[in-house]
Amino acid sequence: MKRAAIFFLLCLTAAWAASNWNAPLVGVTRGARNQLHPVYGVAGSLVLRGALKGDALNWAFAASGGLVQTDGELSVLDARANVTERRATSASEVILSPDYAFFPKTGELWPAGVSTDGSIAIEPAVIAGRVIALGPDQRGIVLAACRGNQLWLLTFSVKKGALLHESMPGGAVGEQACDNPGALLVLKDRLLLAAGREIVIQTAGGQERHVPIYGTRIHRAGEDTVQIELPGLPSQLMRISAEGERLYEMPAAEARP
Amino acid sequence: MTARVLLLALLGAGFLPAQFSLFLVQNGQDVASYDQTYGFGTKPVGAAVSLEFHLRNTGADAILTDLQLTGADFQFIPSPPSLPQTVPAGTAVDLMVQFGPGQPGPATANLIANGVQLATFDGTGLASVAVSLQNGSPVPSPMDFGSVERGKTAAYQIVISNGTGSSVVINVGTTTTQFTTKPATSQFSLAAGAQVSLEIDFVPSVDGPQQANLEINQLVYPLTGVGIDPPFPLPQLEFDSVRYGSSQQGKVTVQLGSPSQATGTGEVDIDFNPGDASANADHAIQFLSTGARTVTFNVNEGDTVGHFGSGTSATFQTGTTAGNIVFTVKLGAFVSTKTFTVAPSVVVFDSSQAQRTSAGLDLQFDAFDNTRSTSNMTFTFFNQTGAPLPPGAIAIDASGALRQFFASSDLGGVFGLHAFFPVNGNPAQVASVEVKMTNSSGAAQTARLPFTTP
Repeated sequence: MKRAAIFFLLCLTAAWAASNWNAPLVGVTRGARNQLHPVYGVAGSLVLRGALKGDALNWAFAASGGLVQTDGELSVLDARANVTERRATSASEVILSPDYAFFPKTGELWPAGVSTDGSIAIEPAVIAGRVIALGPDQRGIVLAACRGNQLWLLTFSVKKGALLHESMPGGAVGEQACDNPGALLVLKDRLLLAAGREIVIQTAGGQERHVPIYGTRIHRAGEDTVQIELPGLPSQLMRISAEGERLYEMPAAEARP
Repeated sequence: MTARVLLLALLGAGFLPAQFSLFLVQNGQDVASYDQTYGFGTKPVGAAVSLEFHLRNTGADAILTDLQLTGADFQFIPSPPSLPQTVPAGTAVDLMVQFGPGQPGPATANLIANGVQLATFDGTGLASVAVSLQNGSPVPSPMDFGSVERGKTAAYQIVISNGTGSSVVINVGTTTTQFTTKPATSQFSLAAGAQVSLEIDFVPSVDGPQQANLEINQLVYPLTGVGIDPPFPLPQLEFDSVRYGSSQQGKVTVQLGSPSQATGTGEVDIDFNPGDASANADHAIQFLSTGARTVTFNVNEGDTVGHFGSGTSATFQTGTTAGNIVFTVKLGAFVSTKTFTVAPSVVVFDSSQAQRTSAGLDLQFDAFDNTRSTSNMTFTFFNQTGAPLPPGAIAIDASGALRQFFASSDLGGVFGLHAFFPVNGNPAQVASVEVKMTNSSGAAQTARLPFTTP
């Protein structure tokens, strides 16, 4: 035991020498000109910096990086929001999570950054519905699909594309998600739905909260942040924690004073 | 013999035409009087009328050396043409001639160019009332009322005197509603030898230069004035909190002491004086709608609050640097300030992630130190039973590294730390970690962060 502790200490000292101090990246958000901007700072102290190239049609970002869909292209972002890879894509619908892109037309599930040979084929018959969102899962990946007008969460293996589990989340999100395409986010421990004049939050524990805000679109902006785009108003950034959700106003894109 | 000379003279005249001819300009066309007499009509004494003429050179290139008007009531306006001047063949000199009778009765003048009489002007002066200022001085032209706030009044007092020897009907009027007469009677009778006082008011309803004429019978007096905004009410800054700390978003409104009578734009500025004068800029201190430290607002007539776009408040951030945030509102001539002190505080941890990998422990956290003075950090690792792993709290001097980081950052006191700890053994035995940071305001510690497996 004593020997192990000494080893640990030695390793710790070595690690400290290689530690990395950096400007905290809160996430990436879309500005008024449809361009993505990295957002630095901490909650309540946000600064937008230079825009990524191209108009962002859709995106998802988390601590490990993310994916951005621009016109005719999917870009892979690293953890610092730098573009590391680009993949040409048709203008067809793509469903994004920070780590995966799903192409509903072909049933291709593409892990960000791998060659297209590494894509996973998901059988449409297994989905038996329309995929509207992707989410993380410890065992694989969750495809949120509308079967008829009802939301289902389908967990697939990311190795073989096999269906591991399926469930109906129910609640207000389950009932309304299929009427609001593009407005559902599947996070690790909760579902978020932009539904008319409120954001409905349904936790894994079954709790349901309603945040009265007229967000037309929501996007996974960071590890624990969601951008809520409001028509004609500055976007809001929702900070999600175990304690709940808190809203912050986003700075304008022309942020550098 | 005499008949031959006369014939030759007449033939010669055909080859030597007069150099200059005078034409009246009517609707842009030259019109010639058959007898070279031009009438200016009847005008009251003190009034004036002007006609435009072309002095056209109908021959070869010529030099105009002399031009005269032989009558005191006729003059070139604004001034006689400059002489001598070359007048190329077929071109004309523009002339504006004004008739302003100085006394009742007929008046004439001749126009003589290079010693040749070209035309006769005539007109008639009509006995009329006299108009002067209250103190007897002549009415200035124009009657300038200066700059006047919208809705306010500037006035001239004039006196109309009837020296015609008989009763006269006076017609008074102005050509725009910005200028009015008081009393507002537009027509009244003035007995012989009598006089009446009249007030001319300028009450601008819009901003900017205004012009009109005061007309008394046929006498015309130009009026000018400038409408200006009335002063704004005193603006006061109001905030949604009485104090602010670091990393906060607040709202400011601009309250007006009374409904504004003016319309215009003001601005609110943020100035920041860091507690440590050598600290780098903190760009997070800004108005969110502009991403800058200035935001403008609009005030319309009747408003009691400034409008920031479609709302009545502007959201700002306090950043992550201790110091004084000074808000300044500017509206018209008014400037008002309000200062908030953001007090130095211990380090605030914003988010953290502790992950266990097969190779070791990966720790990331974001925090801010608004004093930028962190000196020591300690890491305490705990096993699955919650007991600290030996050797207990491991202290590290972070001052140098953080000072270097802050020197290159413009984000205030925020920083992120990513550290990886290789573990020689089974990382699963390490269950959690606590991080403590000490700055000039004291020590702050994270909650116990459990290591998770991705």
